[in-house]
Amino acid sequence: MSIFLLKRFFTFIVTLLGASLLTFLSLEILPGDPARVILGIDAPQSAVDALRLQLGLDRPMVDRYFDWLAHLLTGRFGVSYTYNVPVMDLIKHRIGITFPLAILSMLLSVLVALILGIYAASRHNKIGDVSVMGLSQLGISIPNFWLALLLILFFAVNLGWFSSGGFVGWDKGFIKSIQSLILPAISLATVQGAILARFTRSAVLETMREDYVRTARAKGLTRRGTLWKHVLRNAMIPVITIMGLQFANLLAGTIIVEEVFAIPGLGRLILQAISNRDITVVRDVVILLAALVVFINFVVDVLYAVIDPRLKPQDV
Amino acid sequence: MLDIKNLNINLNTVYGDATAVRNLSFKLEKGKTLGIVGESGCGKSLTALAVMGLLPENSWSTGEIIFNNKNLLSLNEDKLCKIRGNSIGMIFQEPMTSLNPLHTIGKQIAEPMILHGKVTRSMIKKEVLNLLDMVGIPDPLKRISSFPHELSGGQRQRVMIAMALSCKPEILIADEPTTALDVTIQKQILDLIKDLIDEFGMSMILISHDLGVIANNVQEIIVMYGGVCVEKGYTKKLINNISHPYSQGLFSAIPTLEMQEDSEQRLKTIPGSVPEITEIPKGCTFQGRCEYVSDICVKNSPNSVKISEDHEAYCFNLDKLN
Repeated sequence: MSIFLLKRFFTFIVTLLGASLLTFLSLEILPGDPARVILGIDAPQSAVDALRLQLGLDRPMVDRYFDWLAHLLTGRFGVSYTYNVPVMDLIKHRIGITFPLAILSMLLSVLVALILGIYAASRHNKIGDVSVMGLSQLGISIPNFWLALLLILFFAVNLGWFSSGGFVGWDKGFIKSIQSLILPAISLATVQGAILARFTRSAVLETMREDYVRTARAKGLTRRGTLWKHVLRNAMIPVITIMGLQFANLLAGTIIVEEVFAIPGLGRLILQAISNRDITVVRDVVILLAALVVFINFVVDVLYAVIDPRLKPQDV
Repeated sequence: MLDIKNLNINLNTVYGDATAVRNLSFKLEKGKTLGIVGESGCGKSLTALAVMGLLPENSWSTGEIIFNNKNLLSLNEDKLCKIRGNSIGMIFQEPMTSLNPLHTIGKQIAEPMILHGKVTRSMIKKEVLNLLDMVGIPDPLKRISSFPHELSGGQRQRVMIAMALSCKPEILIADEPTTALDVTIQKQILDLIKDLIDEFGMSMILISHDLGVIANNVQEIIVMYGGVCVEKGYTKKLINNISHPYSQGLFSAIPTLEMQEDSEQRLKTIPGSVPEITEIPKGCTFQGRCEYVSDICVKNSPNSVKISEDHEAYCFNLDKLN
């Protein structure tokens, strides 16, 4: 097991390095001088040059990249140009909103997708299957920002069950906080859940054609018994892969959905930072999100080994 | 004990409906063994699946499969589940893929016994160890917690046998149990099956494309071609007087050690190939490949012709043959 973990950890580091390089370079290519954005278009060139010097923007690119890496490694994140506070402080407040939001929508999407996917597979080519497939096609087709607006209109404005936006804060209690996250979570989860439901269905159907499923039936297990005892765990192996990939999509989706629901999370932070050319914030948040995604994929790899004995490392 | 009457198996294919097995009838007495031999696609595996009630979704069967005075084809799913694995056990062709890769073999062998309430929970492990030992798996105590991928093909087939026999069924259906295995392992597995059949007094249906395997292991043979029985009889009688042109072709296609590599004598083959299931001709199914074919073979299906007591063939031209 230790060699397995070590290998995965190495991949984790290499991926993060790649992500950091990509983030850094793409922000370098981004047009617009941060110093100019901070000071405004009317500021004299001398002031802009002075600020560039102060921010270290005059130094060679390579130097700045390694500086940034060194800071990341020692845990010293930068200071935001626009907020003038350490990026860490900005993140600390917001991650407590975005992360629960992502987890909540992941849970919703997985729960609904597994139930619908398995149901559809067990009713293959029957009305239940066709309905689920139609529903999921609809779910895939609706853009999340549009769905978000519809949800606000229906559940917040007309029915008044949930607030139309904003986040009450965790200090107002768990239930209230979840209530203000539930609509954004649904609008995020719908597309992911619809895709995952289709995927679950086809994975289950594929597994049902396996020889060992026929063996299970020949033992006298009912269709349902076979599904629960032999099909599902096998079918989960590809489904978990997709779940891991979808988590990255979910995080990206928060950028839009947090904007629509005016939720002060990481997604909104990054969006505002990009328009303000607040490069320190953008790259630190992006690398944090990248680390999160890579970590989730690491968890997925470990899950594989837990589910599938064929992948279990021999040196336990 | 098992009496199959006029079994027809129909398939719904992309080219339309087709009849994969036609008017098949045979009996299997208690403690007897019966072999079904024929090329791939002749309907032998479908026949086995029909007995199990496990035909693929796009197929259905008519006729009667009487097992212990009950017609299996008219039983509902719940009742069939109580028979499968309990009174009728089955071994499949592919030991590599027929075991669930995620469960230990111990768990998989225990499953039918728990399902059919054959043993108490406390006795399960002992029972599984006994079965593993019985099918010749070395070091059962260690192997009970092994996963299928840790076993060789032969060992996996032994596990399959242990599983199929765990509830001491009255009938064992072995569908090409050795086809996927090494020749050296083949004999071991067949001997093992034979020994266990004798020990438990079970009946067996052995399915194979290999007439040699069939002839050495069963008391009665059914030769199938194109979904119909072309010849059947007691093994000794049939082998000593192979009558149907197809059976003769099948038998002479078995290489023998006496054949010299560079001699004039070559292995005989049956010309042509098995017709597609949707293109099986009316009349005799073998007409397209038979050297004795005549007008009547194309028009009518041949009836049973008695060759001797307990040996019959379905052919119009038996007199020409002999």
